[in-house]
Amino acid sequence: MRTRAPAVTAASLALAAVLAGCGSSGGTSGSGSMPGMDHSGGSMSSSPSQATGSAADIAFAQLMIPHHQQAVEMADLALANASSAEVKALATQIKAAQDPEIATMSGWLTMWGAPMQMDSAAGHDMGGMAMSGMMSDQDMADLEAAQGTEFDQMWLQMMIAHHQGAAQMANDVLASTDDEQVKMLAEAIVAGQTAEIEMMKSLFAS
Amino acid sequence: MSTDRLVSRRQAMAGLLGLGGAAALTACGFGSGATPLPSPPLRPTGAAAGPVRALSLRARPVEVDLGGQVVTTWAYGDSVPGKAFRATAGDRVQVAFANELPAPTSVHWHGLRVRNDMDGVPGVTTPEVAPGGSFDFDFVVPDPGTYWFHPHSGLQLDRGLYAPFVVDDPAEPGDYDAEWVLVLDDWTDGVGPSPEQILASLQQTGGNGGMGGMDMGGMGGMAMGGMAMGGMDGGDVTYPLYLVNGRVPDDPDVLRAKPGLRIRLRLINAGADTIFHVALAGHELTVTHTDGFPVVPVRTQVLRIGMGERYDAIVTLQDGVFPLVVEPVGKSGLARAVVRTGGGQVPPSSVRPEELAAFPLTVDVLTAAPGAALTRRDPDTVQDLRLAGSMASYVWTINGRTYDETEPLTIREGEAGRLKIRNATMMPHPVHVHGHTFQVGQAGGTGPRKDTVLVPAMGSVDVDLIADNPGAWMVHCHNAYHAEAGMMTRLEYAA
Repeated sequence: MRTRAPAVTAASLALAAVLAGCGSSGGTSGSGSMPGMDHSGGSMSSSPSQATGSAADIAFAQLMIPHHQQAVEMADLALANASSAEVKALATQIKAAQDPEIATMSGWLTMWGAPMQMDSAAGHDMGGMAMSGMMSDQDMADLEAAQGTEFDQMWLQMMIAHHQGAAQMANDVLASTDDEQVKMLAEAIVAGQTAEIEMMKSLFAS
Repeated sequence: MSTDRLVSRRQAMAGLLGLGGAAALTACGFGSGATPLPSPPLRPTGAAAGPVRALSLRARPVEVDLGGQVVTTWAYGDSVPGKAFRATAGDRVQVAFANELPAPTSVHWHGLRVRNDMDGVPGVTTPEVAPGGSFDFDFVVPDPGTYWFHPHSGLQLDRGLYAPFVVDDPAEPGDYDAEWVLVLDDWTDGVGPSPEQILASLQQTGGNGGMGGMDMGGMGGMAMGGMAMGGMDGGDVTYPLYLVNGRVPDDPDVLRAKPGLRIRLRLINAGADTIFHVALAGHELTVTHTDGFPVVPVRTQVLRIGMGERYDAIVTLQDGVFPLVVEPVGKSGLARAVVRTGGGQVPPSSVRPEELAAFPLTVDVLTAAPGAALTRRDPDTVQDLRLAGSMASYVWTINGRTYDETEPLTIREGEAGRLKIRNATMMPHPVHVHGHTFQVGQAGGTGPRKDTVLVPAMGSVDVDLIADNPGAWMVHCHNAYHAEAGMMTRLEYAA
């Protein structure tokens, strides 16, 4: 038995706060439907794709950028170490999809005047959203050390979990966002990564 | 001891031999189908109930030999695990249960989609059975697969009260020669402190905060050596023993078979607080089912199994002697069984097969087999299930509330419901839903059907279920200590 660190990280708290606050507003249009979110730094968006971002949209970009960066890092490892041509092709495809999405989301944060990283002091304890499917440093080190078909299997399994996390984060923001750009990108992430999950599952099983 | 637990598939199907068949046959004399059908009607299966299978079960204090170590505990019948129940999908099962324990108890049929009043949860579905009392269960088993049963009363699960329940498929393709049921457990009863003492200690020492929980002065016989602090956090309790089929690693259960045979392993994690990694030295596992339902077969060297979960895997036996090693995640020690197909010495129990170093198979990569997925549909209701808690106060919550003040989730009969499970803690939690087999991901998607899913630390899992089994159903973490400390709620059907 042992004691663990406080159960909730600041970053996840912040996203939890914003998503929980927005969840009930999913069906409503217009602005001002997210009380208590003023701390986020962005003012409410009253029309799609404007120069301000909602708290949920900002949090989505702030968390999805590092999530994508890790996917690109894993794709680079596959391009160097994978033994299967299918895995290498998939890695190329993932990099080609996610690199531009990182640029897009960074552009939003700049446009919205929001920081690239979440303000870790901004959390309220509203429970559990997280950057889902992220690999730990240990996972990444294990992957880097693996070779041959063992690498391929490990990479597929990690990337499936990673993609499932991204699809969940995208689905979560779709439930609340009023911003057409955010909506389009989140839908593209869900569709693209879900299709890639199918492909990776079939490669894993073969 | 070396028990030959080999059951040929044909024998198992016919219920003639082996763990299950024996249990199924010894119990007769109770019920012959003449019992009037209790009200409400048998649910949820739409099909007419098949033959009646009459079984008996008693919970009692026993002395069991764990392999050179005799302990006093509570068990079903004479052994740990209890003898497996065996039935065929569609059977109507009648279980005459007798409580010979000095405490009230209950029997929950984990994973079986039985009708609500047979689900064995005191205060919610089924009356508690008093000491000396009895209860007659009567339900249809709708789905084939690997299930198990245990009490739903306090921490009794962390004693020896557990047993497999295997439901055979009348249409089993049977691409295997024999099967081996393997029940994994973390063990303290009669060796270390009692489960109740452990919980009291968690609640007491947890309150110190900081690293206070590491100061284990109050934990009596708890084994503390070599605790792995790095890597995945598996649980809260370090156990003195880990068991496979009720045996310690130095005197393990042995499967004797011929090389080349294809064996179906049925793995059940009956542990209260321990996630296990499972590997068979020198072999690859082909995972075929989880929680009773088939998946597109995938090969792996090592499998991760959370509390309450089941995995079935096929292995083709090599020639020799091979340990099947079960490693508690984030804890020291191990459990094992042994496969013997040829001559040679059993390797010492300290041997850790290289397969255990591979990346473990998890639920993410599994795909529901054709026919196992739910019908594709969008959810009618979406509900959050936020898992939180703290070691400091040892309080665990769902949606911010402990069970005594829970606000149940609600659903209407016929609806598709989505549970968005969000884990805001630094440890994985196996989340179990009673009375339903959900689909991981979304209904009609590729995720497997399951009734218990391991939600990673700080991670999230969505599951979809169809509300086809009315009643009030428990939804909870299958860590017995977390459940007892509040991490439970209910899913209730609205009128």
